[in-house]
Amino acid sequence: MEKLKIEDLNYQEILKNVTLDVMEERLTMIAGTNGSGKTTLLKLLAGLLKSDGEITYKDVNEPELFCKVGLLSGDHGHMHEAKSVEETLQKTLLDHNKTTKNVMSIQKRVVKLCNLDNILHQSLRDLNAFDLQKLRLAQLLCQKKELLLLDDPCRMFSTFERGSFLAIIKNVIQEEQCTVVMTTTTLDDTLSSDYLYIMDQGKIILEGKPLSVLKEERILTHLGLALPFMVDLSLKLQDYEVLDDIYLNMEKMVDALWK
Amino acid sequence: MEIVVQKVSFSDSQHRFSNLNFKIPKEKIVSIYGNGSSALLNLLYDGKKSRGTMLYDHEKRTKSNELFIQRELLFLPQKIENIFTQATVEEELRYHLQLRNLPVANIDKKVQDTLKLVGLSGSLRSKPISVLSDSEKKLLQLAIGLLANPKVLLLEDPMVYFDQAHKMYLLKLFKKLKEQYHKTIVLTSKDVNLIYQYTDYVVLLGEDHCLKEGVPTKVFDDIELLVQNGIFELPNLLLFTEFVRATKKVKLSYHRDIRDLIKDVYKHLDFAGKRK
Repeated sequence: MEKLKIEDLNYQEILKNVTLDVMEERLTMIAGTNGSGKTTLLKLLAGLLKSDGEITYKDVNEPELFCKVGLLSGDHGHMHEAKSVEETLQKTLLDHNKTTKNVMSIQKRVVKLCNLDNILHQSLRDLNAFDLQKLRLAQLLCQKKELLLLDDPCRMFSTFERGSFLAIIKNVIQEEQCTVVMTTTTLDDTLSSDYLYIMDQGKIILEGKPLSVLKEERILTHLGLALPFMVDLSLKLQDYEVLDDIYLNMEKMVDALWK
Repeated sequence: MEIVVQKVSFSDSQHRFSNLNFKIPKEKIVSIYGNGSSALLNLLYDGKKSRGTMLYDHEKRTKSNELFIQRELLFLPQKIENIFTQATVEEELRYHLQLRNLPVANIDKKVQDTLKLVGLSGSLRSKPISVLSDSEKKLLQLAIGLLANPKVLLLEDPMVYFDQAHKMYLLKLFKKLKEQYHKTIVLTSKDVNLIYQYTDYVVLLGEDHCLKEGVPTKVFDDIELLVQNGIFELPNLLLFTEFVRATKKVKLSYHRDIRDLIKDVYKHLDFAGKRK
């Protein structure tokens, strides 16, 4: 079901007639280069910027929507606080729950979901970008946000960290029934998405299932986006007429090449 | 400028290195990869808390010449928040020209040229810094750093704010700085593919020491050694070649460009598989 609908959204010179249908409990990604309008779009969805278009979520709009949305940016800088991860989570929980009854069980669940077990007692100033991002995500879950807007959350991460963060997001969607809209400049991330939009100069120029979008090699590289390695390799080998499909698994590709 | 590190030991809150030996060759794009790379980059700039010998163009770093050496170095930390003090781009650039006492014949032209060098549009001049995107802020930070004409650029994870096209632009800029202006560029990155494909020289860190150094294809060629030392993220191009060598006994070579790899694959396919 489509629960978040954005129709004909314009904003200053930055966004032009943007229309999105975001499926509930799915991971929707918006990929584009720097300055393509991704961040502005998320800020509009989050209600940080005032829009003139129509944004509806589960048939409610603005004031109510505002409380259901959580925005996470890619870069939190460096924390100087000595507070521990656990204390930070507890504070968030107490700020957002009227009773202390369920706090412990929520905390336990969120800690497990976001893989925070082994850093619970570390202080914020010792956290690296990856752990800090997981904590920020956990805080949004403590606040019971339903619609998570992630603005290039993986940009500070290594390849391995990207993979595990995306796995956490997938898990969160399933366990917490959240809907996630995430932006990225790295097409590698988009292989994990359920639906993919490509944005350029404030317009949506491609959309669809990730693999069908990623086939548009010429358009994407012209924009200045790099294809995921295995997709790139598959498409180039197709040009040489030695492969006839996209292989994401190296073993299967190699078996197809050398039978 | 060449930097040679000999028998250096140092530690911070998270890392401890003992008996470090490596060099930063001059006029190259050098990458430091592995756990603690930021700490090591910092060491090249500020060696106060270390023991051992550090040579900058054969000159030994001591307490008395420390500041003179630092004048030749530019250290750009990754973070971009709260690093600007003025309201607009133009003010910020002019402020730094004044602050560093840099004599310039035509300030207006210098501001314009500096923006152009890093690929920022001249129309940003009058913009408030607060409306710049993160990538524009990062480029502005670099532009300001280059005003002082340093010999060595020490860049902490400079690529994270950029899309692929911008990364390629920056790498081209680094190449230009290296070839035309004789700069030495040292960077850290978590993107092992970028390091493998686009840098000239890699300093690879193990748990507490320098594991290997040299050209990328040589530095990454012993996967077993890397994995033993906690380096699990390896370049895609290398992994593919290794995988084919191991499973199909096909002797592919190590390539840094995907197009070369494809040609190599094609060469090694049985004739029957080529035309379907």
